[in-house]
Amino acid sequence: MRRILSVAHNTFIEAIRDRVLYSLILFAVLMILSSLVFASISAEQYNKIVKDLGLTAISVIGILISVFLGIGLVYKEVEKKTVYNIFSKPVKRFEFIIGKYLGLAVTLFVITAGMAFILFILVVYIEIKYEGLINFYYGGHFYAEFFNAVYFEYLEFLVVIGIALVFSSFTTPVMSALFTFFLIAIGRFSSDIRLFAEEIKSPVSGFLSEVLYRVIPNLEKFNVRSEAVYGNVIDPGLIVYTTVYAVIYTAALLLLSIIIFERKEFK
Amino acid sequence: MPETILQISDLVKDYKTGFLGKQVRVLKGVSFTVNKGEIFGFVGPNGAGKTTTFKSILGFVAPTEGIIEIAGENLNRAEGKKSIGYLPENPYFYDYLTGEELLFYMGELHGLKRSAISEKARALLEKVRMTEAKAVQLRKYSKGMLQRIGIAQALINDPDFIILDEPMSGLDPIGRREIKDLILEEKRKGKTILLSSHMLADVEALCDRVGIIMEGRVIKIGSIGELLKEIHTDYEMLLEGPVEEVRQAVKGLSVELETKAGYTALKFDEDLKRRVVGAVANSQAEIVSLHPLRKSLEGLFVEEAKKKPDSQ
Repeated sequence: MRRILSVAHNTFIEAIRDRVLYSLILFAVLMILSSLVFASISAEQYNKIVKDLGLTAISVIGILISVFLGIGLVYKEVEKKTVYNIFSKPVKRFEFIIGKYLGLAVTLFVITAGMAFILFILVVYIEIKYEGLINFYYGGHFYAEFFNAVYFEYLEFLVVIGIALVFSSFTTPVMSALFTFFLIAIGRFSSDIRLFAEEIKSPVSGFLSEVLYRVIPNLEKFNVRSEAVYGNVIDPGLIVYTTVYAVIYTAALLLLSIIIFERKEFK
Repeated sequence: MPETILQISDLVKDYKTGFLGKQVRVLKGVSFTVNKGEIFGFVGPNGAGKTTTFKSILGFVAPTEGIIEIAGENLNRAEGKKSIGYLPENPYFYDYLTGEELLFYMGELHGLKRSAISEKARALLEKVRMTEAKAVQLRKYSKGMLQRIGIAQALINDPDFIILDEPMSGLDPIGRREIKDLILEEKRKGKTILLSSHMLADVEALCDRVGIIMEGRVIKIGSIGELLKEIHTDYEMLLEGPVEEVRQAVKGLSVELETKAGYTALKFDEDLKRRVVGAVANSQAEIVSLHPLRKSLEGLFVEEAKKKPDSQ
């Protein structure tokens, strides 16, 4: 366990000392702040616009960070031959994989929490600005759906990191990025792909779409932004179900990475 | 009978290369042992298979055939590496970490507690003269500094068996002297060291036994004395006199002729000594000196490298 945490700690340090990361975070903050401009256009929809744009910014930036840091998790260590230092020590291959994953997961947690905090402050500021402080105080605002939406986004990031890690275990960053984005696209539209296949009524496309739907994680399950924007209550059962869904897929992806990495030679 | 720390028997390693996955045999049946408490030098030209042998020992690559045993441990199991220290050739580290952070990370991977690592790191940084640079990121280190921090991380767990791949690489003469002293100090503590190096003079000075690998095969193993006994002694004769006359005198003999510090120098095998002396005596040239050249590992190495592969 200690070795897993050491690898995770080193992965976290690598991420936070990566200058590319700060460029992405800055972009996220700018996207969030730009929602203020759009909010001023529509006084009635101000808080919905800020929440919608802000949550979308968190989603986009979180996915980008998950992919671009995830595809290099294993590849960089093999390419730069730092694996020689790791595996000349009593470190098991699965400890390394789990540690790398955990390190990036913690990094995404910190970044997501930071962006969510900024967005939350902005949402509260906007609502106080338009409603006035007394109305805001007695207005009964419910932010649970907002934080649930952020939590769901974070679950999606955990699955995406897992996908990127699998490809990082055996191929180059360019190919890893291509495959990962391809699977994200299928994951986001798998329900639509299945419906489309049903319309075509072809056995081949039906079979293929069913396989894709069953095997590839349905990333739309993690999208509850509209509930957060319109203040609709998210069923606690859905939160549990989605968490278990993310854990199962993440565990399967980690297992696949471990199996691939166990066979790898460091030439 | 010395205790064997490392035993390699008939190690074969094939790699697949190219688009069609053509098999290339890099190690062709490597066998040698390393005894407890000795410094064993593993030498060979570039591409001979030294690093592949080390990678096979450490489990980075899986042997195609053969057996590797370390003091009864199987190094394909992670736990077997608890008392191993390793310095890779051209050390690659995390350039965003400082020297001190690297030692802490490597120590933690050995399962050491931070409090224990703290004292060891301080002592090792002092030993390799890196105390002042400990808080500097590795991306700013010179090659020599990386080599020194690399040796420090190889010793962080106080290993019993130390594997060093080109430990002197990138070091100036002072640095090389310090690393040699460090290696000898580890030997005095009863550690076993396996090292590879291109600097044959250093290998000759440090190692108890040497194995020479060429084209994937170990062709010679023994102590320095045993190995040097096998090579022919060369002689050098310095002469005063016209160069052309000397050249005519030794025509037909297998002799190297050059000008050296104003003299004509002849270099030849000891078997030719009488014939060369006789040939020169019949000329106008005057013999200034005649002495055997010091045998060296480098001489043996070059001699073996000249031999055809079939004869090995």
